[in-house]
Amino acid sequence: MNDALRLDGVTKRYGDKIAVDAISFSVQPGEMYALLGPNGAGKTTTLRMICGLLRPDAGQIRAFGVDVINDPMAAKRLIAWAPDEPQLYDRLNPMEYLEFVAALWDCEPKAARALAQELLERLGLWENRQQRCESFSRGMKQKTALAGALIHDPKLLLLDEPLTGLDAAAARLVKDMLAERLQAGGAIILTTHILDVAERMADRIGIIRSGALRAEGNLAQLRAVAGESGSLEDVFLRLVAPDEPTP
Amino acid sequence: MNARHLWLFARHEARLALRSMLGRVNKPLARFVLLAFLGLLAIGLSLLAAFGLKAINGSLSPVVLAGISAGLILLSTLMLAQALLNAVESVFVRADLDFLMGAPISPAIVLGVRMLVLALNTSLFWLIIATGAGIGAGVLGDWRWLGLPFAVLGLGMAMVGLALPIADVLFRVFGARRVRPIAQGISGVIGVSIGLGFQFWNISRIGADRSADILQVFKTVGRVAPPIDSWVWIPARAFSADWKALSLWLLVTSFLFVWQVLRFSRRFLARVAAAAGQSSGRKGPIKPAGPFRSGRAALIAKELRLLVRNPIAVPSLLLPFLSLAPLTIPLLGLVRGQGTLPVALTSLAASLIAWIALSTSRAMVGLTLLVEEAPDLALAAPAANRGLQRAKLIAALTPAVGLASLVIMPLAFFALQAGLASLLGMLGASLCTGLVAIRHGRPRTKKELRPGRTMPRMPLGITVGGGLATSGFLVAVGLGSNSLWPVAVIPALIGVGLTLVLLDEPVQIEPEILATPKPRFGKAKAALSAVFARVGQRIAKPKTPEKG
Repeated sequence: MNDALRLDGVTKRYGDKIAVDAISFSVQPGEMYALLGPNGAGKTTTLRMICGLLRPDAGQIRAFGVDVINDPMAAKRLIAWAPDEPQLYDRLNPMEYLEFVAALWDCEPKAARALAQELLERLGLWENRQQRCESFSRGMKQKTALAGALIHDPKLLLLDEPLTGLDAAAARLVKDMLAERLQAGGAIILTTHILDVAERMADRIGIIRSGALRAEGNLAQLRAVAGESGSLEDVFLRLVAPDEPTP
Repeated sequence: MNARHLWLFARHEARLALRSMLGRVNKPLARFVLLAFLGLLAIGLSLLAAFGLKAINGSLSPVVLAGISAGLILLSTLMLAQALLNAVESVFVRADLDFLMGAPISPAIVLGVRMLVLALNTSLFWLIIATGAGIGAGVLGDWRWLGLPFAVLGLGMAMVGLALPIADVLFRVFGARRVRPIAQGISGVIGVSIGLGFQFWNISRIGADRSADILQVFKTVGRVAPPIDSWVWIPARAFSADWKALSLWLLVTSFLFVWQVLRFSRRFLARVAAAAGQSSGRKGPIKPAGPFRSGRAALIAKELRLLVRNPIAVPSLLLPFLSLAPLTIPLLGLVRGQGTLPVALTSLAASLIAWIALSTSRAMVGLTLLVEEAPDLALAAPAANRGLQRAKLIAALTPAVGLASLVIMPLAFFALQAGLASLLGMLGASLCTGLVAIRHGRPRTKKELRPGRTMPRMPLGITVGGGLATSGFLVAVGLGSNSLWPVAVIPALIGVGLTLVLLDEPVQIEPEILATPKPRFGKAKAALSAVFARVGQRIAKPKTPEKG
């Protein structure tokens, strides 16, 4: 069976700075993979390469067997990306926004319309469907962006800080919706700074520092690598701590 | 609230106003050059004004005061337009009010300081001129001219005092969301009203002896005007080195200003709450959601929605066409049987319409490029970039070309050749400018996505080439209007050829992963593109590319 996602030696440089350094990992269908790391570690750059927004300088990326670099259109049909800053249009309302996204992914209009209503109803935005996004709270924007990511039924979801701005009920709802995607055979990669979320939701966790993958696996495996028996927070802090200078 | 807070707040407001004025000019050298240029301009205008003022010394008459009053009315309309926009911007649009209201500062002080800076901002240009002119005239003759800048400041305060209730009414009638575009439209109409009125009069008197008309106006004013010590002339005398009138003028304008600020500040908290978005939601029943459009229709609908809802779009579109309105006067004259239209006038009208259509088309294309708030969304989608660009082009050209067609219709009714030439030239020029802008006018940096801009920067060579191409179409319009169709074809073909040369592969919002330019018109096109690029490089000094 194909991996949902496979990265092999993916590298990205900005001038002299190496943003992502020969990173390799894979995600299976039905699996949620959490990518953790301090600010500027290369998480978002990695996600941008996976969804075809950046060309890697080296390495290979395949989504469900499709080469993202050489066949980006086919790959993009399978992928949805929800960045940490919701990509909305202030002067469109949620239905207009979803109509636009559905057209971009060439969805059948009638089915997309029905799915849009279902998503907005589940996310508690149906009553706000004629309000422009400019008047939305951060949480409402986040939910609208998530609806946009789900409207074309993607097989691979890339979520950058998906729970930012959501209240407890909305966060629970989103987690449930993501669990449904996994049960349906989809795969999810998420980045978050809320380690508790990663610990409870993700099947595997990758910890990235200075563009390089320091460790990956479930919590027990990460503990073993870090030589740390505490919580994920302890393990994380140990793995991302700067290297001690050699005497 | 103590004096330190007052100073801090005043300095904060002044800094915001200054940065708003300087706009995108961030580099110290560029700021110095800009300020030096404005300074020289102000000194030149001030000296001219000073000599003019010296001539007025001691020769005030009802006719002179009427002339000054007419100038003040013109100045007032310009200042009111500016004050209205500034008032709406600083009270209802700027997002810092809820933050400021959280600070231990009285709303009246917040609004008072903000409005005082607004009055200064509104009258700043005229204030600089008046200061220079006042000092110049004071040195050259009468020291009492030194009061001139105070008179201008008084006018600025009065206009802010008038703008505040207008902004308030607009807010109450149209709501927080629409107040800005509506204010922009109204301020535009106010700003051009005097000019438009003069143009109407000017064109409607074609063939008449206008100097005799003006003389007649002076004679009538001299006959019916009240004596110079009448209260009617207080504003004019305040601007004419009369310190008694100036004191009265400042008293009245300050009173108007303070009264309106206090009146307005009583409702300030409610306005702040509304401006913060608490009252900006849709009122009334929710309509049932309609079906989704498919493919291209949905893409065009999205672009049209964003364009129509952009506050800059409506004034950018309407004002150029509004300024065309006086051209209809000669046509109305024809209806009344006052003669035939001169060929030169019809050619001019045809070319002007085509030029306005192309410049508004370009502005609309720029807006559709700059309103792209979610470029990553489009890039992450499996949609062809060409389809997205086509949707932007159609959405941008539709309103500009549609409005121009409405203006062309009466012209074609009276002068068929000119109407036809204008229509064809307008379509060619609009399409050319739109295509070139879409292909080459991609926003390169986040700075270019700031609200208020109407066009991203393009390479100079492309800009020059695009200008030459559209000029070809405009020349063709002029020739076609004069029935010189065989000759008109030549510049039109040059325009088409240049347009094809300038069209490169889509580059507007190109994902790096897809950016592999492929020439479509072979070596000839590449060679011509290189020529334009070289011309551009010679004209412009090479710059270090900005970092995004």
